[in-house]
Amino acid sequence: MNNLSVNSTKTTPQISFNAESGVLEVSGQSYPESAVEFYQPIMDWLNQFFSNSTKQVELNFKLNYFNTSSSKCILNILRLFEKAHAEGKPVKVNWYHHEADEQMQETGEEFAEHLTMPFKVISFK
Amino acid sequence: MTTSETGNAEIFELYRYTSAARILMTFKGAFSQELLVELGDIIKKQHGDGNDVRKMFSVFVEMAQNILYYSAEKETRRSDGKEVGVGIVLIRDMDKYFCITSGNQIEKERGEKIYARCEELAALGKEDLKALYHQRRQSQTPEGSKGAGLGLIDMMRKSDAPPNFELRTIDEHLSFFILNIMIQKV
Repeated sequence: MNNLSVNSTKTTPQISFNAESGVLEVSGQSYPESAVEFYQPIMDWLNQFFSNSTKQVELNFKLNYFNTSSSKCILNILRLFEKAHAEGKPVKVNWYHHEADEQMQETGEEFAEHLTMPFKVISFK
Repeated sequence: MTTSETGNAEIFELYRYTSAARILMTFKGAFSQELLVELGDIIKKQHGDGNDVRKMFSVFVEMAQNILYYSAEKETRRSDGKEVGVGIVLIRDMDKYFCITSGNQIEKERGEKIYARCEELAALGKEDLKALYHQRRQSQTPEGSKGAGLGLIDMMRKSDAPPNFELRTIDEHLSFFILNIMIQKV
Protein backbone atom coordinates (compact mmCIF):
# COMPACT_ATOMS: atom_id res chain seq x y z
CA MET A 1 0.00 0.00 0.00
CA ASN A 2 1.21 3.52 -0.80
CA ASN A 3 2.16 5.97 1.91
CA LEU A 4 0.04 9.06 2.34
CA SER A 5 1.85 12.36 2.44
CA VAL A 6 0.18 15.78 2.31
CA ASN A 7 2.16 18.96 2.78
CA SER A 8 0.87 21.46 5.29
CA THR A 9 -0.64 24.80 4.35
CA LYS A 10 -1.56 27.69 6.62
CA THR A 11 -4.97 26.13 7.25
CA THR A 12 -4.32 22.41 6.80
CA PRO A 13 -2.00 20.06 8.69
CA GLN A 14 0.91 17.98 7.47
CA ILE A 15 -0.15 14.38 6.94
CA SER A 16 2.55 11.67 7.01
CA PHE A 17 1.14 8.15 7.03
CA ASN A 18 3.68 5.38 6.57
CA ALA A 19 1.90 2.14 5.66
CA GLU A 20 5.02 0.03 6.17
CA SER A 21 6.16 1.27 9.59
CA GLY A 22 2.61 1.85 10.82
CA VAL A 23 3.56 5.31 12.09
CA LEU A 24 1.05 7.98 11.17
CA GLU A 25 1.30 11.66 11.97
CA VAL A 26 -0.97 14.70 11.75
CA SER A 27 0.77 17.97 12.63
CA GLY A 28 0.26 21.70 12.37
CA GLN A 29 -3.06 23.51 12.32
CA SER A 30 -6.42 22.82 10.77
CA TYR A 31 -9.09 25.33 9.82
CA PRO A 32 -9.76 24.81 6.12
CA GLU A 33 -12.76 26.27 4.35
CA SER A 34 -14.17 22.75 4.11
CA ALA A 35 -12.82 20.32 6.69
CA VAL A 36 -14.94 17.46 5.36
CA GLU A 37 -13.39 17.86 1.90
CA PHE A 38 -9.85 17.97 3.31
CA TYR A 39 -10.23 14.93 5.56
CA GLN A 40 -12.11 12.68 3.10
CA PRO A 41 -8.97 11.32 1.31
CA ILE A 42 -7.41 10.72 4.74
CA MET A 43 -10.44 8.72 5.88
CA ASP A 44 -10.36 6.78 2.59
CA TRP A 45 -6.68 5.94 3.07
CA LEU A 46 -7.24 4.81 6.67
CA ASN A 47 -10.23 2.66 5.73
CA GLN A 48 -8.17 0.92 3.08
CA PHE A 49 -5.20 0.59 5.43
CA PHE A 50 -7.21 -1.06 8.21
CA SER A 51 -8.97 -3.38 5.77
CA ASN A 52 -5.72 -5.20 5.02
CA SER A 53 -3.44 -4.57 7.99
CA THR A 54 -3.16 -6.18 11.40
CA LYS A 55 0.21 -4.76 12.43
CA GLN A 56 1.03 -2.29 15.20
CA VAL A 57 -0.15 1.23 14.33
CA GLU A 58 0.84 4.42 16.09
CA LEU A 59 -0.99 7.66 15.36
CA ASN A 60 0.62 10.89 16.54
CA PHE A 61 -1.29 14.16 16.67
CA LYS A 62 0.91 17.22 16.95
CA LEU A 63 -1.57 20.01 16.42
CA ASN A 64 -1.50 23.53 17.76
CA TYR A 65 -4.92 24.67 16.57
CA PHE A 66 -8.01 23.31 14.86
CA ASN A 67 -11.51 24.70 14.38
CA THR A 68 -14.76 23.00 15.35
CA SER A 69 -15.45 21.43 11.96
CA SER A 70 -11.94 19.92 11.92
CA SER A 71 -12.60 18.66 15.45
CA LYS A 72 -15.43 16.56 14.12
CA CYS A 73 -13.19 15.10 11.40
CA ILE A 74 -10.49 14.30 13.95
CA LEU A 75 -13.09 12.46 16.03
CA ASN A 76 -14.04 10.46 12.93
CA ILE A 77 -10.39 9.44 12.51
CA LEU A 78 -10.23 8.42 16.18
CA ARG A 79 -13.40 6.36 15.75
CA LEU A 80 -11.74 4.39 12.95
CA PHE A 81 -8.88 3.61 15.32
CA GLU A 82 -11.30 2.75 18.11
CA LYS A 83 -13.04 0.33 15.76
CA ALA A 84 -9.71 -1.27 14.80
CA HIS A 85 -8.90 -1.59 18.51
CA ALA A 86 -12.27 -3.28 19.12
CA GLU A 87 -11.39 -5.74 16.36
CA GLY A 88 -8.24 -6.64 18.25
CA LYS A 89 -5.78 -4.70 16.11
CA PRO A 90 -2.84 -3.22 18.04
CA VAL A 91 -3.30 0.56 17.82
CA LYS A 92 -2.18 3.45 19.97
CA VAL A 93 -2.66 7.19 19.74
CA ASN A 94 -0.42 9.92 21.15
CA TRP A 95 -1.79 13.43 21.53
CA TYR A 96 1.07 15.91 21.75
CA HIS A 97 0.59 19.46 22.97
CA HIS A 98 2.95 22.28 23.84
CA GLU A 99 3.28 22.41 27.62
CA ALA A 100 1.90 25.98 27.70
CA ASP A 101 -1.07 25.19 25.47
CA GLU A 102 -3.99 24.53 27.83
CA GLN A 103 -6.54 24.29 25.04
CA MET A 104 -4.76 21.48 23.19
CA GLN A 105 -4.15 19.63 26.46
CA GLU A 106 -7.83 19.87 27.46
CA THR A 107 -8.95 18.86 23.99
CA GLY A 108 -6.76 15.76 24.14
CA GLU A 109 -8.03 14.86 27.60
CA GLU A 110 -11.61 15.28 26.43
CA PHE A 111 -11.07 12.91 23.51
CA ALA A 112 -9.48 10.43 25.92
CA GLU A 113 -12.54 10.42 28.19
CA HIS A 114 -14.59 8.68 25.52
CA LEU A 115 -12.04 6.23 24.13
CA THR A 116 -11.04 2.76 25.31
CA MET A 117 -7.95 2.27 23.12
CA PRO A 118 -4.50 3.33 24.37
CA PHE A 119 -4.52 7.14 24.11
CA LYS A 120 -1.81 9.24 25.71
CA VAL A 121 -1.74 13.00 26.19
CA ILE A 122 1.90 14.08 26.08
CA SER A 123 3.27 17.58 26.67
CA PHE A 124 6.45 18.86 25.05
CA LYS A 125 8.59 21.97 25.53
CA MET B 1 -13.79 66.38 -4.43
CA THR B 2 -15.04 68.56 -1.63
CA THR B 3 -14.58 67.76 2.04
CA SER B 4 -18.25 66.82 2.40
CA GLU B 5 -18.14 64.59 -0.66
CA THR B 6 -15.25 62.58 0.74
CA GLY B 7 -17.03 62.38 4.11
CA ASN B 8 -14.10 63.71 6.15
CA ALA B 9 -16.30 64.65 9.09
CA GLU B 10 -17.69 61.10 9.25
CA ILE B 11 -14.23 59.58 8.94
CA PHE B 12 -13.04 61.74 11.83
CA GLU B 13 -16.08 60.65 13.86
CA LEU B 14 -15.41 57.00 12.98
CA TYR B 15 -11.81 57.37 14.13
CA ARG B 16 -12.90 59.02 17.38
CA TYR B 17 -15.53 56.34 17.94
CA THR B 18 -13.15 53.42 17.37
CA SER B 19 -10.65 55.01 19.77
CA ALA B 20 -13.24 55.65 22.49
CA ALA B 21 -14.63 52.11 22.11
CA ARG B 22 -11.08 50.75 22.52
CA ILE B 23 -11.31 48.73 19.36
CA LEU B 24 -8.03 46.88 18.89
CA MET B 25 -8.98 45.44 15.53
CA THR B 26 -12.01 45.53 13.31
CA PHE B 27 -12.94 44.45 9.83
CA LYS B 28 -16.20 45.10 8.05
CA GLY B 29 -16.69 43.56 4.64
CA ALA B 30 -16.61 40.27 2.78
CA PHE B 31 -15.03 37.49 4.84
CA SER B 32 -13.25 35.10 2.51
CA GLN B 33 -11.24 32.19 3.91
CA GLU B 34 -8.04 33.93 2.75
CA LEU B 35 -8.98 37.14 4.55
CA LEU B 36 -9.72 35.44 7.84
CA VAL B 37 -6.37 33.64 7.67
CA GLU B 38 -4.59 36.99 7.24
CA LEU B 39 -6.55 38.65 10.05
CA GLY B 40 -5.86 35.67 12.29
CA ASP B 41 -2.14 36.09 11.62
CA ILE B 42 -2.37 39.76 12.56
CA ILE B 43 -4.04 38.85 15.87
CA LYS B 44 -1.20 36.44 16.70
CA LYS B 45 1.49 38.91 15.62
CA GLN B 46 0.00 41.70 17.75
CA HIS B 47 -0.83 39.69 20.86
CA GLY B 48 1.55 36.72 20.94
CA ASP B 49 0.56 33.15 21.78
CA GLY B 50 -0.67 33.20 25.38
CA ASN B 51 -3.66 31.04 26.29
CA ASP B 52 -5.95 34.07 26.12
CA VAL B 53 -4.77 34.82 22.59
CA ARG B 54 -5.25 31.18 21.56
CA LYS B 55 -8.85 31.45 22.78
CA MET B 56 -9.30 34.82 21.10
CA PHE B 57 -7.94 33.39 17.85
CA SER B 58 -10.24 30.38 17.88
CA VAL B 59 -13.34 32.48 18.69
CA PHE B 60 -12.33 34.84 15.87
CA VAL B 61 -12.03 31.95 13.36
CA GLU B 62 -15.45 30.52 14.32
CA MET B 63 -17.06 33.95 14.01
CA ALA B 64 -15.39 34.78 10.70
CA GLN B 65 -16.25 31.37 9.21
CA ASN B 66 -19.86 31.79 10.38
CA ILE B 67 -20.03 35.12 8.53
CA LEU B 68 -18.39 33.60 5.45
CA TYR B 69 -20.92 30.74 5.33
CA TYR B 70 -24.12 32.07 6.86
CA SER B 71 -24.36 35.85 6.49
CA ALA B 72 -27.52 36.81 4.59
CA GLU B 73 -25.52 39.60 2.96
CA LYS B 74 -23.39 38.21 0.15
CA GLU B 75 -20.76 39.79 -2.00
CA THR B 76 -19.24 38.42 -5.16
CA ARG B 77 -15.49 38.73 -5.06
CA ARG B 78 -14.11 40.69 -8.01
CA SER B 79 -10.95 38.61 -8.33
CA ASP B 80 -12.55 35.20 -8.91
CA GLY B 81 -16.33 35.63 -8.80
CA LYS B 82 -16.62 33.63 -5.58
CA GLU B 83 -19.54 34.47 -3.29
CA VAL B 84 -18.70 35.18 0.33
CA GLY B 85 -20.59 36.54 3.34
CA VAL B 86 -20.40 40.11 4.60
CA GLY B 87 -20.24 41.11 8.25
CA ILE B 88 -18.22 42.82 10.93
CA VAL B 89 -15.83 41.46 13.55
CA LEU B 90 -14.34 43.52 16.36
CA ILE B 91 -11.82 42.87 19.10
CA ARG B 92 -12.16 45.31 21.99
CA ASP B 93 -10.12 45.93 25.10
CA MET B 94 -12.36 45.80 28.17
CA ASP B 95 -9.87 46.02 31.03
CA LYS B 96 -9.91 42.46 32.39
CA TYR B 97 -11.33 41.02 29.20
CA PHE B 98 -11.01 41.03 25.46
CA CYS B 99 -14.45 41.25 23.90
CA ILE B 100 -14.71 39.47 20.54
CA THR B 101 -17.78 40.54 18.60
CA SER B 102 -19.39 39.47 15.37
CA GLY B 103 -22.28 41.14 13.57
CA ASN B 104 -24.02 40.07 10.39
CA GLN B 105 -27.30 40.11 8.56
CA ILE B 106 -29.40 37.00 8.91
CA GLU B 107 -32.79 35.87 7.58
CA LYS B 108 -35.39 36.74 10.22
CA GLU B 109 -36.49 33.18 10.92
CA ARG B 110 -32.96 31.77 11.03
CA GLY B 111 -31.96 34.64 13.32
CA GLU B 112 -34.74 33.80 15.75
CA LYS B 113 -33.60 30.17 15.80
CA ILE B 114 -29.97 31.14 16.45
CA TYR B 115 -31.06 33.58 19.15
CA ALA B 116 -33.15 30.91 20.90
CA ARG B 117 -30.21 28.51 20.62
CA CYS B 118 -27.91 31.09 22.21
CA GLU B 119 -30.37 31.54 25.08
CA GLU B 120 -30.43 27.79 25.68
CA LEU B 121 -26.65 27.52 25.58
CA ALA B 122 -26.04 30.58 27.76
CA ALA B 123 -28.21 29.02 30.48
CA LEU B 124 -25.96 25.96 30.66
CA GLY B 125 -22.96 25.53 32.93
CA LYS B 126 -19.50 24.62 31.61
CA GLU B 127 -19.92 20.89 32.33
CA ASP B 128 -23.26 20.75 30.50
CA LEU B 129 -21.77 22.64 27.55
CA LYS B 130 -18.89 20.19 27.48
CA ALA B 131 -21.28 17.22 27.45
CA LEU B 132 -23.39 18.84 24.73
CA TYR B 133 -20.30 19.57 22.64
CA HIS B 134 -19.25 15.96 22.84
CA GLN B 135 -22.76 14.71 22.03
CA ARG B 136 -23.09 17.06 19.06
CA ARG B 137 -19.64 16.17 17.74
CA GLN B 138 -20.61 12.50 17.64
CA SER B 139 -23.90 13.04 15.84
CA GLN B 140 -24.69 13.76 12.20
CA THR B 141 -24.00 17.29 10.94
CA PRO B 142 -27.27 19.27 11.09
CA GLU B 143 -28.96 20.06 7.80
CA GLY B 144 -27.90 23.38 6.27
CA SER B 145 -24.75 23.45 8.38
CA LYS B 146 -21.47 23.64 6.50
CA GLY B 147 -19.42 23.24 9.63
CA ALA B 148 -20.23 20.81 12.36
CA GLY B 149 -22.89 22.88 14.15
CA LEU B 150 -20.38 23.06 16.97
CA GLY B 151 -19.10 26.60 16.61
CA LEU B 152 -21.69 28.26 18.82
CA ILE B 153 -21.25 25.72 21.63
CA ASP B 154 -17.48 26.06 21.41
CA MET B 155 -17.61 29.87 21.63
CA MET B 156 -19.96 29.71 24.63
CA ARG B 157 -17.57 27.29 26.30
CA LYS B 158 -14.66 29.64 25.75
CA SER B 159 -16.46 32.73 27.07
CA ASP B 160 -15.04 33.69 30.48
CA ALA B 161 -18.04 35.90 31.28
CA PRO B 162 -21.69 35.45 30.31
CA PRO B 163 -21.92 35.87 26.54
CA ASN B 164 -24.07 38.68 25.20
CA PHE B 165 -26.15 38.41 22.05
CA GLU B 166 -28.84 40.42 20.36
CA LEU B 167 -31.07 40.30 17.32
CA ARG B 168 -31.92 43.68 15.81
CA THR B 169 -34.58 44.20 13.17
CA ILE B 170 -33.51 45.46 9.75
CA ASP B 171 -36.83 44.96 7.93
CA GLU B 172 -39.59 42.35 7.74
CA HIS B 173 -37.27 39.73 6.22
CA LEU B 174 -33.89 40.52 7.70
CA SER B 175 -32.35 40.86 11.14
CA PHE B 176 -28.87 41.73 12.36
CA PHE B 177 -27.30 39.25 14.76
CA ILE B 178 -24.64 40.37 17.25
CA LEU B 179 -22.62 38.01 19.45
CA ASN B 180 -20.14 39.14 22.11
CA ILE B 181 -17.74 36.62 23.67
CA MET B 182 -15.54 37.65 26.60
CA ILE B 183 -12.04 36.27 27.01
CA GLN B 184 -10.25 36.95 30.25
CA LYS B 185 -6.77 38.41 29.86
CA VAL B 186 -3.93 36.42 31.40
